[in-house]
Amino acid sequence: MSSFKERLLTEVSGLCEQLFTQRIALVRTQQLVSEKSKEDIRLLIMELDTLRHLTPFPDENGVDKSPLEQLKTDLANTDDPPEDGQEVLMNWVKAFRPGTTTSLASDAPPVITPPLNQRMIDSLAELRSEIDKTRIRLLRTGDHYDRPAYTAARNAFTLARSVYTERLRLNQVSCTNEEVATVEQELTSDVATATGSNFPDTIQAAADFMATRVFAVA
Amino acid sequence: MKKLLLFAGLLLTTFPLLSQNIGADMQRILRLAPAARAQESPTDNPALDTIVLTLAYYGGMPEVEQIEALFSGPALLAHYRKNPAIREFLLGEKLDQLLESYLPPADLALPDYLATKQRASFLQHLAGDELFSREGKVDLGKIRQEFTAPPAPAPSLKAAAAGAANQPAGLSTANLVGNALNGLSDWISRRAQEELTYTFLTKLREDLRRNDLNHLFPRTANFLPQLDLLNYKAILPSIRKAFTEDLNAVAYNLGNYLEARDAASFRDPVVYNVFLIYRILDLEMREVPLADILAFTYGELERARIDTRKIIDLRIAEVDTTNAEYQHILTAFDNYIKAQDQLNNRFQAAEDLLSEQFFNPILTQVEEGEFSEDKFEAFIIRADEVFSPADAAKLPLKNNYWETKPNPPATGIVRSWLRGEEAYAYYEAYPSLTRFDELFGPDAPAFDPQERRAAGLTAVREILAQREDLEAYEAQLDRLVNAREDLIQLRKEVANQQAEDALAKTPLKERKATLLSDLDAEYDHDPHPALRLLRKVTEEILIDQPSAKKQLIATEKRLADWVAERGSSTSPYAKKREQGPIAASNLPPLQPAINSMREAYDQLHEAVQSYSSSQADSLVRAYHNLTTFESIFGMAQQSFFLLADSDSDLFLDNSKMAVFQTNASARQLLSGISQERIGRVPNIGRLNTSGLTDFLLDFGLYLSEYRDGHLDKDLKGLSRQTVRRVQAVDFITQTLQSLLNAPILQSISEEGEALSLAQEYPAFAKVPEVSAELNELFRLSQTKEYRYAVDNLLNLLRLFEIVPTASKKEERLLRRRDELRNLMADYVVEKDADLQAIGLAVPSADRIPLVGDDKANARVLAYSSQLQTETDPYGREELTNSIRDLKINNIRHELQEVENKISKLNPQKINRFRENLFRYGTFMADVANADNPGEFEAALNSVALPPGSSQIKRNRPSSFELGAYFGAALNRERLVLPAGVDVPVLEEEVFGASLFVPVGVSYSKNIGGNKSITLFGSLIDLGALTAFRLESNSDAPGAPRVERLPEFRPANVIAPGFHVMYNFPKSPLTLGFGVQDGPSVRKFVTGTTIGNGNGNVEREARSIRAMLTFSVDVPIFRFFNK
Repeated sequence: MSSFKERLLTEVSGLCEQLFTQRIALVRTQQLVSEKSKEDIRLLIMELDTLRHLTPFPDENGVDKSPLEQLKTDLANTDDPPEDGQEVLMNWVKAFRPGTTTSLASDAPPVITPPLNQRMIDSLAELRSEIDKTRIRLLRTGDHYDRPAYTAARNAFTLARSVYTERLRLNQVSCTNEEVATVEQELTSDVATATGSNFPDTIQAAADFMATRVFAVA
Repeated sequence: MKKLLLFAGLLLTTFPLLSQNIGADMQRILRLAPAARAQESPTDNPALDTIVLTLAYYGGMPEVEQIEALFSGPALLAHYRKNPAIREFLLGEKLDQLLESYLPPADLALPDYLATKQRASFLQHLAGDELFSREGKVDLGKIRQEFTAPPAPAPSLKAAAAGAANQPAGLSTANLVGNALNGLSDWISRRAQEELTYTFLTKLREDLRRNDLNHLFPRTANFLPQLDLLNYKAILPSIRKAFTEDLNAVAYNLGNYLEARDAASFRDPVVYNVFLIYRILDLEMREVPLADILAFTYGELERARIDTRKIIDLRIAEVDTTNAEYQHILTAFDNYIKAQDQLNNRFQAAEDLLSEQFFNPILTQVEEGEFSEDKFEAFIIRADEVFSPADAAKLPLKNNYWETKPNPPATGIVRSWLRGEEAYAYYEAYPSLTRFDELFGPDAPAFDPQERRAAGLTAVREILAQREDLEAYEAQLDRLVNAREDLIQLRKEVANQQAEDALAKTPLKERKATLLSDLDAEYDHDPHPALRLLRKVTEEILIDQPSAKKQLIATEKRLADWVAERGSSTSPYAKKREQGPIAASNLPPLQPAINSMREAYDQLHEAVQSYSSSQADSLVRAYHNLTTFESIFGMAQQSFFLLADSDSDLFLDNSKMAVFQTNASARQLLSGISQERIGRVPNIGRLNTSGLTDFLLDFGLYLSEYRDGHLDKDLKGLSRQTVRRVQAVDFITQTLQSLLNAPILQSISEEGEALSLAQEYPAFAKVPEVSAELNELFRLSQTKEYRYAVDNLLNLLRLFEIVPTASKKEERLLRRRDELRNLMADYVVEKDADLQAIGLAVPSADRIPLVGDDKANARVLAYSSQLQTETDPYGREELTNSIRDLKINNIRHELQEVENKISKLNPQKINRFRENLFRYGTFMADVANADNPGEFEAALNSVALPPGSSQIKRNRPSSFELGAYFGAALNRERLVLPAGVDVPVLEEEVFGASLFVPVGVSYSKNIGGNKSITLFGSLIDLGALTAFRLESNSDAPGAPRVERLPEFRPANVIAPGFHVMYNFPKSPLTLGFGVQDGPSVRKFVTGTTIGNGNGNVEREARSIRAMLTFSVDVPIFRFFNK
């Protein structure tokens, strides 16, 4: 990989990660994670992957990096993070590699997912199902949980899972047996046996687990 | 409780014995139908309960859950909707309407009298149901195990026969010595006989070695070489013992013989049939219950099918895997995986969406709604009931592998195997120590690339066979769509309840103002007088009055109902009532994913079939034959179940079946129930209900006789074990014949015509005949009717087409015959849905080659050109069928011609083989059955003088024999005077007559038809002693005189001669002309003195005769014939 490409991808990837973290923080305060919200961030991450595989990679001299610099500065201002950061980055990427359109996951051509990634995807689906079962159980037994904490954790979980599983499916990130075992044997088990007092925490733990792995290098 | 008592009472009064069999059950339905109808209501209708129970029993056995599911009237009607007989019966009895609304009483359960274990045992779980799957899932572990296991030993007829022949009953050999010795006491008169017997035994010994007959007669073959045959008289008793044992066991030895002759190809149903008979007999003799025997036999068939499938895929995997067709399979399977992943991901996404956009928001809404405890609980439960079943539904293509954990996407294993690789990526993704041991443990079996590819192909076929799993996705799609709609509805209800609760807490003044505002807004939208009236009503509600709240609520309700009734989507009030997000999220595109998956299945199927069709086609036919056997045994199970009795006797008595002969309604019910049960037999095809009913009645009659167990005359006196064995073989073979010859299938080509399995599947055409012959052979060999048993043996060898080595021409014809037979078999196999499902099919009939003459070819070409221009789909189908039928007819025609040629080609060789076997067999039979010296002698005579052997020289092209004639001769005799005697008068030729009894050698040649000419050279002629000279001597004194009869001396028997004989056809009579030197001694006197001799002294002269003979041909021994 040329040093320019390497530097640029690291830079863009860093911005993506920052935007993702920002979006995670944002959904924690929302009532619900919309489908559009999930698709937007997934699209951005897929764009990044497309960029990684661009051949030939454009020459450094022909690239206008000023929007990136501006976005970096804006994101650094933690008091007032930009709301349109994602759109800015998306527009820059599209300008960088004109002529193609990235599809949403549902329309993307099917791929063969590596077995371990598939196992992780299935385990996370099982975890989501388990969260729903536990919530019903707690509601029916009257074992109250901290509702705002639950909503925040649940939204974080939903967004993180959406992005993480899509990256796993496309083999953009990989996981380890230990990680899968953690999901199956600890996180899922914790959720299944959760009480009202720790239910949001068990969901948050799962959300954090995924969030930290979304940008692991494949 | 009251109803149960009533029910029990009704049963007891109607059927005091409560025996359970098809006759009693159908009669019960018939008797109760009027009572059920008279009740006019499905509730509290015990008669209807009984009818439902009985129909549910026959519709659901052996699954109790399935029976119970049919207790509901609508479910029962739905189950029998494709059964015309039952449907029409219910309509005719007007029970259909009652059943439409019939709900079973809470306590309705299968009564003990129906749930008899004995009948159910016939339907016990069959191991053969699933080959490479388990509980509907592809069992990759089993597939791997099969391919890594050492090759399974081929089924052995020899071993099966040995198992069945456990302790064959032998015959007593007492008194044999005395009989034999006495029978041979006069050695002088039997000397010639002894010579011939010795020669015969020597030939028998050699032939036993040559033609594998040692497998058919092993004890004789083992015994004869050890003996000094010159001393055969002393050993005859021992020989007889060997003969007896061999003939007694000939039905078992046949298996050894077939195996030795390489005739035991288990691809041939005729051979497999024999194998199964041996196996079943073995089990029967071990007193295994019939139901268990059937289940076990299924297991055997499963084993055979697995092995065949394994061999098929191993052979297919042998070929070059870089070729385009194999690569096509790899690509198609990759696409299949992608489509499957996409399908599962979309459905997973749909479940996530329901969870995130509907289910959880509703729970939140309920939590925030501050509802009463009851309302809260009710909403939560409803949300759970709507969402959880859809969320928990196991998607079959996510869960279609029988592996250690649920949901492993094990398609990765199959993908690796197809490439000849081990699926390490998969194993590492799902690691386990057991897996480690299997792969790398000390006893880990080798799994080479070819085996992996073969295992991959097998797994792919199994995946294809289960493509109906995809239907579950359609059901899940409906479930998800319904769940979404129900959740939207629930969300509305929660919101409305929330609004109502909020409204209830609103001050009346504010509430009245809101109602007026709503009415105004609605009136602006739609100035209807109803709204004006409601406004006036509202205006008159005074909030300080006690009834104000109720009035307000009632008016609000009127408004809501009126707006809902109008159904306007633009109504302001309707919009206000619409709570939550207006546009509910849509599910991902699920139907397109299902369609893509369907296409992926089609492509994979096409790739596998296209690749397989050019490989291993004979094995495919073998597999098809095994599948047909599975159908036969399935039929046996269902027939036994239907005809079983709950009484201790196994099958129901024929008298209990009489109702089906006399009562049309009962027959109709039997027809429906038999269709219900036999229709479950795997791969049975379309049934002919009339033929099916007739078969069951006939088969019932046979089973009824079997149940009676009467002992045939010929079995009396035999040991219990032998009788049991004979009866067992009889039962097995008769059952097989009945099942194969039953006209139960519906012909596709001709409506209404019934076909039997033997007719539908040509490979099985000879199976009933073989079964019948084997049964006869077995019975006759056990009842000591050995001579007749030999006939059956020969018939079996004919059916098995065991012939001596063929000539090149014969080989060529046989090859062609097999090719044509295979083409015919392909045509049959092509219709096998089971084979089609797994992509294992022979080339399509469309690709059947065109054979036959120019005329037939011209017709096919004409049809083909019409087909190119025909646009009407029905016309195209008709033309396609015509082409196919023409091709099949041409093949059938040529096959017949080739078979005719083979039969005419070299019948002598085949006939000689069969003749020899017949000769040996009958000789052994006669010796074995000789109970006294006379019979023993007769047996030996039959070898020396086979009856009718004089016909051989007439029928065969040529033969060379030692023989005799017995008849009369007219001759012209000339005396040959001693040297020095010259009396011309004495030397004059005279006519004479004599008996003609010469013995000598003859060579015969056929001159057309059954006529033949024999050249006969005699050495002796007993008739020469009677050579009478017809002319009298002169009475004059001193006249020469010759004795008219020769001297009675042994020397006169020596009369060498040469004759040409004409053999009359179809009789042993012969007309001949020849010359003979003899009689050698005839006395004469010269009358006058010649030289020193006295003219009156008697002297001796010999004669030479030219003879015209008419005699009976008495062959003694045939050296050879062609």
